[in-house]
Amino acid sequence: MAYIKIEDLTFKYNDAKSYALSNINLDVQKGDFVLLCGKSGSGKSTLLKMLKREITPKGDKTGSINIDDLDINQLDSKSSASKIGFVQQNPDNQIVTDKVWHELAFGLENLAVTPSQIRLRVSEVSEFFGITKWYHKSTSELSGGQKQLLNLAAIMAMNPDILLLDEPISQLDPIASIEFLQSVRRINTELGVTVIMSSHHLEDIFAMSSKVVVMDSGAIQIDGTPATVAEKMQDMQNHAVYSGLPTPVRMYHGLDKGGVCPLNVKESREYIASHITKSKSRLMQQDQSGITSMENVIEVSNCYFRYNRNGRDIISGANFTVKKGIITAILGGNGAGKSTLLKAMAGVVKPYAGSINVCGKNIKSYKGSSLYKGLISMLPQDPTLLFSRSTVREELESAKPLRDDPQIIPNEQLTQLLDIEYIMDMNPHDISGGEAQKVAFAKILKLNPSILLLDEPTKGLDPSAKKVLADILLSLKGSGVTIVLVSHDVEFCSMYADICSMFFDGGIVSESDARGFFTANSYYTTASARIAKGFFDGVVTTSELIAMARHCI
Amino acid sequence: MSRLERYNPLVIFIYFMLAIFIVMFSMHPVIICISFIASFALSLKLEGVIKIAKSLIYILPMIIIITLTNPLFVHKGATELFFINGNAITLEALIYGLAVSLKLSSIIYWFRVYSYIMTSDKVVYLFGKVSPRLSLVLSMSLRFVPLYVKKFREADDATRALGGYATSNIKDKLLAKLHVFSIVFSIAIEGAISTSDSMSARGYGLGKRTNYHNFKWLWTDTITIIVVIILGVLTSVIMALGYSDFDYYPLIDSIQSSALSVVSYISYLSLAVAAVAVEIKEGVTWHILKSRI
Repeated sequence: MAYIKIEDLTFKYNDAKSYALSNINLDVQKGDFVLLCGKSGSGKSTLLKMLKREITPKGDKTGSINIDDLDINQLDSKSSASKIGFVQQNPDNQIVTDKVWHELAFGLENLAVTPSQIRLRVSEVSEFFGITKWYHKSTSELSGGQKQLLNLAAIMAMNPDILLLDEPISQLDPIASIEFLQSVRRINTELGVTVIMSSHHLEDIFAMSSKVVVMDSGAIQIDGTPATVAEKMQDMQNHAVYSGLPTPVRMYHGLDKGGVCPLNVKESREYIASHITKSKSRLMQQDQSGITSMENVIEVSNCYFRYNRNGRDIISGANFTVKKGIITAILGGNGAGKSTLLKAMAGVVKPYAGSINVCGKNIKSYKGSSLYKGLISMLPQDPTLLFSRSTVREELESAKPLRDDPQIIPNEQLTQLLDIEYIMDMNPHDISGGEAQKVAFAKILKLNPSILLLDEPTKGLDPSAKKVLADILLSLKGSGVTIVLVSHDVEFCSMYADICSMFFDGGIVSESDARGFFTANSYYTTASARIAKGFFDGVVTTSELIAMARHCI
Repeated sequence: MSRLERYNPLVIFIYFMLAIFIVMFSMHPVIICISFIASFALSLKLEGVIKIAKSLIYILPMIIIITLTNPLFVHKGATELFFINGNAITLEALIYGLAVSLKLSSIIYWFRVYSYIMTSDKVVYLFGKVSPRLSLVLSMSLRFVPLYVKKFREADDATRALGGYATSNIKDKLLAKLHVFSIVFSIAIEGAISTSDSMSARGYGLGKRTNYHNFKWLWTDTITIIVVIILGVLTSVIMALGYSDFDYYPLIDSIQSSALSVVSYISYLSLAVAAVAVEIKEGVTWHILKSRI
C-alpha cells in the first residue's frame, strides 16, 4: 500500500482556460526520494502545492490525495501543518523573522510547543544542519545558500514525515546547491523522511533519487527508478528535459552500447574503461588566435572597489579586457565580486582607483544616460528588479530601444522565441523565477544594446529555455553584439562562451578560450571533462565526449 | 561579552529606566553629578576610549553653549557678574545652565549604553512580555527593513544600468527614484504573499502561539532586580517628599545634609555606579582567572 496515493487528480486555476494538472496518478512509498522534472509550467509546482493544504491555490480540483490512507482534507490542522513540510524556490521570501534562532523556532511557536521543548528541538536541528555557528546572526546577514538551508532547517524543526521542495536550488550557486542537496539526502537516508522535490538541475539529483517523475503539460509522462527513466528517455532526445539529464546518462544514450546505465562520473569512467578499445586520444584544438587580435570594447585596468570605507576590497587590482563581438564569460565563487565587476563595467558602481574605458573613452566621461543609449545594458541577477508594470505585455512595451539601428530580433519573434506568449497578460511578479528571467531578458533585448552585460542569465532556467537563450546570444553575437556574462553555469559557459575568465580574490586570475580554460581546470570544469580526463584530453562538452568515445569504442 | 549583557533584558530595562527617570526629574547637583560621572564611566568601560572621545566632539560644545546661553536669556539670580545691554548676567543662571547641560549629557550617555546593550532581539523579547503578537510584528519588521533597503539599492543600480537616470537634473533623478520605488513596492507585495504562504505552511494562525526566546531568568536576576527596585524607589520617594529639592534662584541653596537627603544621595549613588562596578568586577575576575591559567 502506497504511503502517498494520488488518484485521478485534475486541477484548473480559477481564471485559467486550460488544466494545470490532468489525471495525475502517482504512488509514493514511505521513505522515497521522488524527483519531479519537466519544463517550466509543466505543473510541477502546482502538483507539490496540492499536497500541502495550507497553500493549495484556488481552483477546480477533482480526484483525491491520500496520505497513509487518510484524505489530506481530513488531516487535523496541526498535523497538516507540521507533518508536511514545504520549501519554496525563493530563499528570501520564506524567512519570517529577523534572527536565525527565531526562524528555527517559528513553526514550533505556532504549534504552541512549550519553550523548553522548543529549545531542545531547535538545538538539535541547529547541530544537524551545522547552523550553530550562525545561530545568533540576523537573517539579513546570511548568504543565499545559508538562507535556503535555514528554511529547510526551520521546516525540519517541526519533525515532518513528508518534505516537499519546489525547485529549492534554482537560485543557489553550485557549491551551495550541493551542500543543500546533501542535507536533503541526509534527511531522506538518516531520518527516513519521504522527499518530493522538483528541479531543473538533474546532474546531481538524478542519481540521488529513488523515483523520477517526468511531467509535461500537467500530466505525468514517465515515472520509475532513475535507471528505467534513463532507458526510456533514450528515444526522447527532443524532449524538453532531455538536455537537462545528467551527462553520464546522455553519454550512455549516445554510445548506445547497452549495459547498466552509469549515473555519476565514477561509474561513467568505469563504463568507458570497460568499453574502450583504442588507446588514448586527443581532441584537436581549434585555432583561437583570431580573438586576441580583436578590438577591445571594455578595458578595466587596475581597478579597486569596496562598498564601504572600512570594508574589504571587493575588487582589488582587477585587469580585464572585453573583445568586440564575442561572448566572454566570468566564472568564480559566490560572493567573490564577479557581479560587482560587471556593475563597474556598467558604470553603476564606481571604482575608487583605476580606470575603465568603454569603446576607448573613460567611463566617467559618459554623461547622463549616454552610456546606456544603445551602448550598454545590464541584466541584473534578480530579474524582478526590472518589473514595475502590472502585466508582462506592458512591461515589454515600456522598454523603448535606445538607439535607432534596426532591432536585431523583432519583438513578435522575441516573445515567440522565448516562449513567453502564454504569460503576456500575467503580472510579472506572479510568474516563476525562470519565466521572470526570460521576460527580463526580452526587456533588455528590446533596448537594443551593442554591449550586453548579463548577470547569471541561466539562473532558474529549464534546459530548453537555456538552449533558446544560447541561440539568441549566438545570433546577437553574429550581428556584432558584444556579450559579457557572469555565471556559475559551467556547462553553459563551456558550450557557448568564446573566452572564459576566472574571478578570484578581487581580480581575474586566469583567462583563456573556453576549451583551454575547462581542460586546464580539474575541479571547476564540466562533468564531461571530468569523465574524459585521461581517456580523451581536450573534451569539454557532452557532444564532444560522445563523439570521441564513439570514435574509440 | 560584558556582564550587563548577560542579565535578563527585563533587569536591564528596569535598571536603565530608573537611573534615567530619577535624573530626569531632579535638578539636584549631587544627583546630576553622580548621574554624569556614573554614565560617563559606564560608557567609557563598554564602548572604549575612542568612541567616547568622539562623543565629546558634540557633548563638550553642547555643555559650553547651554551654560553660556542660559544667563543670556534668564536674568534671575542675586549675584550679578556684569551687564549686557542693561541685562544682568548672574552667577546663578550660569550655574543652572551648567547643571542642565550636565543632566542632558548624562541622559545621552545613559541612552548610549542602553542602546548598546539592548540589541534588537532583547527588545523583541521585552515586547513579547507585553504582547506576543506585537513582538512578532516587530521581529518581522526588523527582518524586512534591511531586506528592502538592500532591494532598493539593487533596483536603483538596475535602473541606472538601463539608462533610467536620463540626465543628472533633479526632476529626472526624482522620476527615476519614483520608478525604483514602484519596483521595490511591487517586489515587497509579492514577497509578502510568499511570506504569508510560508507562515501558514508552518501553522501560523492555528490558535494560541507560544513565545520562544533565548533568555533565561537566573536567581542573580531576581536578586539584582529586587536591589535595583529598592534603591530606585527609595531615591524616588525621598525626592518626591521634597528632601532633595534644590533651588538655583534667587540664591543657590546649600546642599542639604539631613539624614533622609543623605540616604537619597547614597541610594542613587549605589544605583548609578552598580552597572560600572559590575563591569569592573567582571574585568578583574577575568584577569585573575587568566593569570591562574
